[in-house]
Amino acid sequence: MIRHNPFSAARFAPGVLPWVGDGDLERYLDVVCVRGARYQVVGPHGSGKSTLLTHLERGARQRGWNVLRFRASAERRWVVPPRDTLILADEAQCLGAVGRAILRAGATALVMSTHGDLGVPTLCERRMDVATLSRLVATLAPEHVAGSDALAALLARHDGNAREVFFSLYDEVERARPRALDRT
Amino acid sequence: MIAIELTRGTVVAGDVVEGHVVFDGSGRGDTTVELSVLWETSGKGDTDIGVLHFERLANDVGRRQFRVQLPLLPLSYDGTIVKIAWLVRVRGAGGVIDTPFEVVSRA
Repeated sequence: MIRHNPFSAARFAPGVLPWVGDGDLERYLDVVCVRGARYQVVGPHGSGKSTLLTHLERGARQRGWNVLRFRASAERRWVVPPRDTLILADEAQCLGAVGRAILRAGATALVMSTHGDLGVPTLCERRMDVATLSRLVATLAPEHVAGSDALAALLARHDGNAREVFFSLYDEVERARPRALDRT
Repeated sequence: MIAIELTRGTVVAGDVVEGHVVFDGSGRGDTTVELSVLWETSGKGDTDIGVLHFERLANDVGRRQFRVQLPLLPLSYDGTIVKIAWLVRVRGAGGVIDTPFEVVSRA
């Protein structure tokens, strides 16, 4: 039978895990779901920016908002912001100044995730810490024994990128399994 | 409570996977549940999925038989980078129940 790896990418994709980041999600929603809101979520790769946006998307929909989510790095057309819609833009640093200006001018409410400052108020500055990482690892694999020192070392090795830490743990799980001849 | 009972846990590609969905009546208010037979990948990349069979079943007391002929590919695969798992999945108001089975080559 197929032996599932608890650190498979699909298990920690944005929104799959419950919100365990710092900050109260409801408080974030209170300030984001307001006409005229303009915010950025700042942080490096793998710090939980898209995860936060996914939880904001879910929460805003539950509050009755229309939500448009798009990944700026993959968008190949201009986005004309629909009316009465919260726009959640991933990787907004990939938009040019004109694109960001259109969003800021036209969106009913806007949250952009970015690696650097885009000149709007910061909703949240994401940094993956060992305590949060430990909780995520415990959620993904309660049986996985990893001390906080080991997780801290992994996090440091991967420059605070939780996604890369999970991939390291994925490899660790695979290495620990007995190997069969037909495995690649 | 809903359970899936498979006749065999290992099926040769191209043969029939069969079994029963067992309803104990505790979720009769849920009206219907979805039964699917599918494969999905997992690993370090994006997940891919192929749904071979889908049907809606009335959520009533009793046993409902299902028989689904499998294709020749993909076979179950337990690799390091990617895995392919075959599942019988029942989705209802109470959540999702996955019952894995293995698809192997005839040789």
